[in-house]
Amino acid sequence: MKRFGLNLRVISLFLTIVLVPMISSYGQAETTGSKTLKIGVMSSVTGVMSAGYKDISQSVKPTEKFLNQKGGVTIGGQKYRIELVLFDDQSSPPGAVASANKLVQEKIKFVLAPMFMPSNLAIAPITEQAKTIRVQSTTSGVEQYGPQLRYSFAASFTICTIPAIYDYLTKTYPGVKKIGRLVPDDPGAKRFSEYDVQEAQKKKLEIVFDEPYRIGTEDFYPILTKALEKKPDALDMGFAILPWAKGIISQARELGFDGPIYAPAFVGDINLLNGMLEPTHAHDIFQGGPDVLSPKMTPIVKEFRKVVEKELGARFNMDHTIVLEGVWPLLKAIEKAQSFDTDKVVDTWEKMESIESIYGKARMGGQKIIGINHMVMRPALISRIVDKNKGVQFNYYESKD
Amino acid sequence: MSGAALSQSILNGLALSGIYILIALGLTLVMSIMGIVQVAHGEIYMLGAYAVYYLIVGLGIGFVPAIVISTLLVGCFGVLLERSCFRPFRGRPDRAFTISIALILILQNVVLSIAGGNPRTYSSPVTGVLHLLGVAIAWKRLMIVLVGLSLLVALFLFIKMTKTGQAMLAISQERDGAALQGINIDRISAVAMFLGCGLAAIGGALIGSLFSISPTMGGFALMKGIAVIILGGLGSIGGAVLGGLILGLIDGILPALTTTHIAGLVGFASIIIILLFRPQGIWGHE
Repeated sequence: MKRFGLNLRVISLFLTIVLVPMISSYGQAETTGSKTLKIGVMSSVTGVMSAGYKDISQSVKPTEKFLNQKGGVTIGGQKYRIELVLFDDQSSPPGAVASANKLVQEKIKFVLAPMFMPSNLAIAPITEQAKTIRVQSTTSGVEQYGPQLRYSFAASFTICTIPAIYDYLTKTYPGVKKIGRLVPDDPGAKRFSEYDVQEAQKKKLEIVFDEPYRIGTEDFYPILTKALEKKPDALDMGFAILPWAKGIISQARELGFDGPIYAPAFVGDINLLNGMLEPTHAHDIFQGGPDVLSPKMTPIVKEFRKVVEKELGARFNMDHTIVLEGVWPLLKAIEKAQSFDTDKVVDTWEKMESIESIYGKARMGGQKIIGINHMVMRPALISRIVDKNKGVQFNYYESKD
Repeated sequence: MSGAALSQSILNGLALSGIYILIALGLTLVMSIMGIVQVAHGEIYMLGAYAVYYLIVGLGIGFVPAIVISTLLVGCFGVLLERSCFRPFRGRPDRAFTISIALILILQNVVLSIAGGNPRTYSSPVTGVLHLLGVAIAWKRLMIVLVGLSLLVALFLFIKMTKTGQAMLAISQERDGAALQGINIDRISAVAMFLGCGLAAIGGALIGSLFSISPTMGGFALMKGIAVIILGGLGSIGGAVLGGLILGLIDGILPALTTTHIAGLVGFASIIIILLFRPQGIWGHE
């Protein structure tokens, strides 16, 4: 028996010494042999935000498949397949920092940054020091960018949609003169709110009510009672997320408000929002975001939709496009630079006068807002729930920085 | 603030009180009989809402039968939890507390993997808005208040008029004494868990029709439920009513007079003050 135990220990030791290096070297051989570009995707797989970000995490593999179907990336005549590596930020800055360290240790030089601003800010020193290019798919937080953050880019900036939203509001609803603002109390949205108010004022709209509500609010009756007392013609939801938007719209309608309700940024998938609303409430609602099911969608998104629906067997929605929206322009910049050297990619990317986004032609901008051309200026997207039966109207507009 | 807006705010506060009372009833019942802080009560509330969602949307069952089925299912699930998770740790509240924390994570993730993270909604058959003297309130909110009050009366009568109810009262006052009198603690605990979870399911189902449902919706219920029972008095039905009324009126009226932040601050500050000067809560007993 003792002899048998000894044999087992010898075999285990042998397996450890021989097989472990073999397995790890096999992984490297596969990576280098098939020419793979690894891109990190940092999202909340666990923790409080994981529920809301589930579609983003689930879309990683379909996005990888789609990118490889489109040919991956070609550098110096050599094709590289794309491997998207999902890192869990655990819905918190400490979790994001742990994942960023792991990413750097694994020598991954490109990463799609967390959507949650505190997590993105927390990993900035790590990725900047490692010269890792960090792209956010879409953001409202100006504070996350600037000349001091050389390796940080945004694939779309909600602030640049705000002028188009107010053009749309004043043209579609010329009777609107007074705005009531109910916006979530998010410290990351301070500058966004300032832009929102400025653009409204440029259009000679009077802000008659402007008060933040606590994040997580379900019952909007108290704040709406106060807002509606000021007799606004339209309600601005800021960048509420779907449950808050549903709450504001439904409860405002219940309290007798029939005017337009809009969000200068997107609140989520417009079709999901439409589905959540009662028929009598679902009218005159618009947001600065896409209707990904629209026949007017770009060929890229239409093609991607087929992959997602086939791979996940789920109804396609806006959250499925988040990873693709961030990675797509990054790959265009890498291809343009013809290098994986992140300094060369940064230098090339910020000078690109034309770049393809998943929503059509774009340019690099941001000098005026963040002091550096690290924002992909894609078209502004506006989708509107006309009424429950007529569904959603969607179109592209010019974005401004 | 105009008179109409103030009236509207008072009405909002009363409606909120009804919602809070409904949430707190089940929690206070479980706490008083089982002697544990069942922090997964919010997740039970969430299960009730999802059960109704799938019964209505998936199986096409009507709203009221869906709530009845959901209540029974979730109530039975509560009995299962009592038998498997809480009974083995009776008299060790620290362990029961740890288990209920684990239950939060397990139940949230089970629902997340089945239903996904996107918020979902279902409609209440009660539609329309009541307009009265310049104030407006959705009928479905009033329905929740009425259901909450009806359940409150039913629970009160159950405890006062039935043998099982009296046994519950005895256990909540002196567990060992009740056991010495021949009361079957296991059976009464199971009944309490069935009722507590059933009440949570009704709350989740009704409030879910008002807002939207998501795997993390239980956080709201737990936070408000605990605040209400601390304010009113741990393990007291009268305390849940009083606590719900106070907190509902604070949350309904103060945001209109000040801001939502100050309202939140006052709500929780009042709990701290109560704990400092009357640790057993306004209606609670030592």
